[in-house]
Amino acid sequence: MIFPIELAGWLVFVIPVIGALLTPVFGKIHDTLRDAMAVLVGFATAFVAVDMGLDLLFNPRVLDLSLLKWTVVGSTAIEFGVLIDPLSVLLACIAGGIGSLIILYSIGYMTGHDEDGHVIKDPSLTRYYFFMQFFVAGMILLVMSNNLLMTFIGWEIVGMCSYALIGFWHQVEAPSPVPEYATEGEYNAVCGMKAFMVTRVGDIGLLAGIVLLFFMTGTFNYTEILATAPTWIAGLTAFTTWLLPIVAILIFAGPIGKSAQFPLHIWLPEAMAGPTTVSALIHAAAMVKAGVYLVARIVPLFIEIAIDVAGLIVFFQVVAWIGAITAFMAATMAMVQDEIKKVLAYSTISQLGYMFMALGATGLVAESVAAYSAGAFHLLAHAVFKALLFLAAGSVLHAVQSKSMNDMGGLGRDMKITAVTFTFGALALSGVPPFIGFFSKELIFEALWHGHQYILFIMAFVTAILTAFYTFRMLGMTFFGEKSDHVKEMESHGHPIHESPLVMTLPLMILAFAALVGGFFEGYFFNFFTPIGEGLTHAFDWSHLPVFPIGITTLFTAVVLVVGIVPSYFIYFKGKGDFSGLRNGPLGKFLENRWYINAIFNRIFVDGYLWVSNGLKNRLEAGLLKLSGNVAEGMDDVSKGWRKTMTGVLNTNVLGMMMGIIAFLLILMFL
Amino acid sequence: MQLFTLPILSEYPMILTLLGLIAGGLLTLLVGQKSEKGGQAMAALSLLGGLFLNILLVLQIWNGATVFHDIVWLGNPSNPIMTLGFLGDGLSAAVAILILGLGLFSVLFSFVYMKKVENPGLYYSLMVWFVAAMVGVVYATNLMQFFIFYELMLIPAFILVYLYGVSEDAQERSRNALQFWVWTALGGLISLLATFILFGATGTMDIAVLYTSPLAVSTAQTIGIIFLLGFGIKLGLVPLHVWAPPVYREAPMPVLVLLSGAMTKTAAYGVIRIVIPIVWTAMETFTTGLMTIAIITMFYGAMLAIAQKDLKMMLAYSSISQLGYLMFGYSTMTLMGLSGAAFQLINHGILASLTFFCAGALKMKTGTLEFDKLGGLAPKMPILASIYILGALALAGTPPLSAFAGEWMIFAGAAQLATSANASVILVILTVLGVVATGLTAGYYLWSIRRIFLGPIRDGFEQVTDPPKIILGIIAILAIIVVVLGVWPWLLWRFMNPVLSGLLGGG
Repeated sequence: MIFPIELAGWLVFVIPVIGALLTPVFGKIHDTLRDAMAVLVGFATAFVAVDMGLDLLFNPRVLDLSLLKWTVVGSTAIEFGVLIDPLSVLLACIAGGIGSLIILYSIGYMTGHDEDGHVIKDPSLTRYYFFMQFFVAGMILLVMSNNLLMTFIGWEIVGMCSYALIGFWHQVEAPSPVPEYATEGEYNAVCGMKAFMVTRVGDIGLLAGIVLLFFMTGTFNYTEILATAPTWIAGLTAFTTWLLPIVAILIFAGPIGKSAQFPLHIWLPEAMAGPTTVSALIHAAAMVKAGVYLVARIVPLFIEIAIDVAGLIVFFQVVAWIGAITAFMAATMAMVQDEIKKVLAYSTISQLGYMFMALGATGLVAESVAAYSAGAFHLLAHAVFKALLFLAAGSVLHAVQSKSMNDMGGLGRDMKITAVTFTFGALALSGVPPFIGFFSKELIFEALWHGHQYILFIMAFVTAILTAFYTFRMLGMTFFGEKSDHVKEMESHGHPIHESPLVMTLPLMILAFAALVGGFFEGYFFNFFTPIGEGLTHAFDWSHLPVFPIGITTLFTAVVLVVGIVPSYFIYFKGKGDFSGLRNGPLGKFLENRWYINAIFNRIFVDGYLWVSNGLKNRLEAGLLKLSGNVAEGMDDVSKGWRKTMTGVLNTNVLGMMMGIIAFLLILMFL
Repeated sequence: MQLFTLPILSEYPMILTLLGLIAGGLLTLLVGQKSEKGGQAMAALSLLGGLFLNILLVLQIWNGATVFHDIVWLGNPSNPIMTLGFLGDGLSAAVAILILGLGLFSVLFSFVYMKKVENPGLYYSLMVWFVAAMVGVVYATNLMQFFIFYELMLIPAFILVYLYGVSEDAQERSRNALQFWVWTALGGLISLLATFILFGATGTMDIAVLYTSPLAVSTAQTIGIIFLLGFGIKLGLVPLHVWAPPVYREAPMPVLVLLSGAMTKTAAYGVIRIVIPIVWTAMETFTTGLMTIAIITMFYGAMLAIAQKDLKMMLAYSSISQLGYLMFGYSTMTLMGLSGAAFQLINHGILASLTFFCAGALKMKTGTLEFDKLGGLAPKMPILASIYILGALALAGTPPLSAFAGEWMIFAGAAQLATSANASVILVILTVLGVVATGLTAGYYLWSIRRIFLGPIRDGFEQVTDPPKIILGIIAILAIIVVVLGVWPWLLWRFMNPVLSGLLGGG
């Protein structure tokens, strides 16, 4: 389109990198200049990404461009380049497009008012904008990369930025929400660290998997892995054939961590400690989508390889089941959360589980492309409605100054735009037609049902009911029903609930519109994705896919909506029935404590590790050092003896001793 | 093609570096008696001169050429018994620049950190001579020459620790210094023993000649094990690391930078230059064992690091752990692993120094390095905090920072072995464990960041500010190198890759 696509593939992540690097410079000049530049960079990135997207929409194709010789080992050159295909461009559009809306929204969100109504800006905004832009850059680098190693680099940049951004408010002096830490700031810092460490666990598997795969295939490049598949598969030994599925699962460990799947889902709820904009970026545009992207990227390769290496089916089963378990588990946890952002966090984990369920099913069902399209379309749908929900939630937090839904209620009257847009997001999340979530969830149902994966289908079905329930619970507790005491108190102190400024509501309206009409572009989406899977022997024919099919699964969706929404409506909108006994009972506690998984892991991997380390230090190392010290003590006595007989200056003795040894050895050598 | 030359200076850069440093050290000693400033200036100028000469050397070898000189030292010229040779190639020049650069930065750092040091002339001259001896090791083309310099460097190091150690108690200082000296000198002597066996078997001490000398497998294995034992002591492989914690605790920060950042690297360099090309093919049977030792070192260092209550000791154990990565790379015995280890040799030199300098600056400003007493310093010292965090993330193997560029190659070396013809489950497990160590590294570094820089500020630190400009300059330059090498490792790699390919081919 406007930019030559070869150039756009690089520009799209170079622009935000430059923006990030310029942020401290501009910050020195003027605050407003820095903020304006960040917004400008955000939209420039989005523009380039969308430009590429349109180009591919009219002319679907795949371009693999290698440019930079990163390093050379022996005669093996490791070259870096970009891969421009529908998948990478879609993700770049999501990261750039939603990222730019989030940065725009930040302008409003990251400022507050003091007692006299003066605008106060967060003093660390330079740091904030630096990492926000770098985050977007890392995410786009990750998706545009044409090889696994460069993807890993972007992957870690994203992790590093999330660490910095989740712990962004590390100086807040308010009391900590959990008793272990002194202040909220310290708690935030801990959450950032937890996110980095837990995702790092997955990254270990990913890096090990990448390097092992490199020596099996001889390349990091996605296209080459596929193109040379017959050659390198023929070269596999019995051992490496056995190893290949394990390597595939090691690689999947990365997405498990990054996309917060069981058992590494534990970091994501804590990631809510960061500013809401950061949560939106992590959950909708970047980070958690990275894992889904990587799986979507390698699934077509592995489908092809699985024809020759039958053991690889295990990989698809692992992906699908991890997804199914996570989807169900996180949905149950979401039902009892009292913080609005926590509900959204668990719902993200759950929805990501759906995507993995669909992507894993590609290797299990006959019509792979149906499952693949479902996963990819749900990725897009979720990006839209989850960004919307987070930003609308941020607008609520900004007005109410509390995270808890018990402090909200009845806000719909005072914040009309926020309430309507949030409702759009909630309807999309629950899968109500004609919102985008209906179409994507319907695709997943169909792929599982027609692929005869009935157990997975039941998991997806039950999870969808839970999703509809907790979504309406959240909607009811926030915007409908009676106003809470907290709100009334605020109003009586002369702080009436008010709508957020236009910089914040504009992104909401854009996203709400997308959530409403996005689903109707399903056909274009399939058309756009046609080049994915080209050249595979396995059927991966996008033209097979029926657009907007009405069938048995539509009936299931209707059941889901009725069973999920109706009770939720009566309990949380109308305030009928008292369920506090159930809520405070063993099941409620079990869910509230997140199935106790977090506590168990903490006990084993944090406390246990520190216990072993301290034991090593106090027993083994102390003993070793003492032993060595005794030897030195003996030497000290020797030197004291010398001191008497010789010059008395210790260092001269040592010098002499050295010379003596060297002379001795020289004599030994030459005589 | 040579990019840029200067008469004489470009012709004999290595010999002139050594002579310049020896003479510069002497001048430092003399001038330093009269004025502290003069001694400082002389030391800095000598090291700067050495650095300049080595940059000239790099410009000459830009396209893969090598520079070589030899001087007959013993015997008649036509049939010398021993020659002093000086070899400048992509590997030795890179390591020499690392050592000289760290030397220069340590001296500059001392200007503010070791203010009013007792007998400044002696202190600065010892620093210069310490660097001179290490550079001598790097250029050596002859095993005897290598080990003479290798032992010589211990003298200034020992005196520096003994005279300028941080313990108040002289007894304590001498004990720690002696312990260091005994162990590392022993390490040198053990390696020397291997040299003699090698001489007995081949009749030469010239490293380049030894590359092509035939050796019986059993002899090669004996030599290899003795060499690795000797170098292993100086590298600090567990359990041969026992000398390191006491001396690291004792040494003042600038000396510690040279000990950890530069001195241990001479042993790592020795492994690449001597052990690998000469005896490696015979050592293949020990691969799994050596990899296991390396893994133990990586884990042991990392676990002890997280158990420390003091930043300096945490960094010391981190250093031990990180040197395990080098051994892991070597013991894979693949070009990939070796390349990673060589790259990491440079990276770790930079990163260890960077973190030690940060710790030194922190100590200057707060007076303590105990985690329990620190906290919330990031807003008070934003530049130092940012650079420390950058260094910590780099050491944890986070791309796009420099250490990742080396680490992935080290792990790839292991992976190559684990997927080769004689692969086994154990090798796969060792590969994964190697990567796990980077996770442990991230653990203790992030925890240290949290405890020092984040959270609520401790009482008494309200007035703390960023350190003086000279320290900020030093750590900023190091940080920039870390980022640049991480983003584009080829800049450094273009020098080292041909040398390493040659070394492994010549075995």
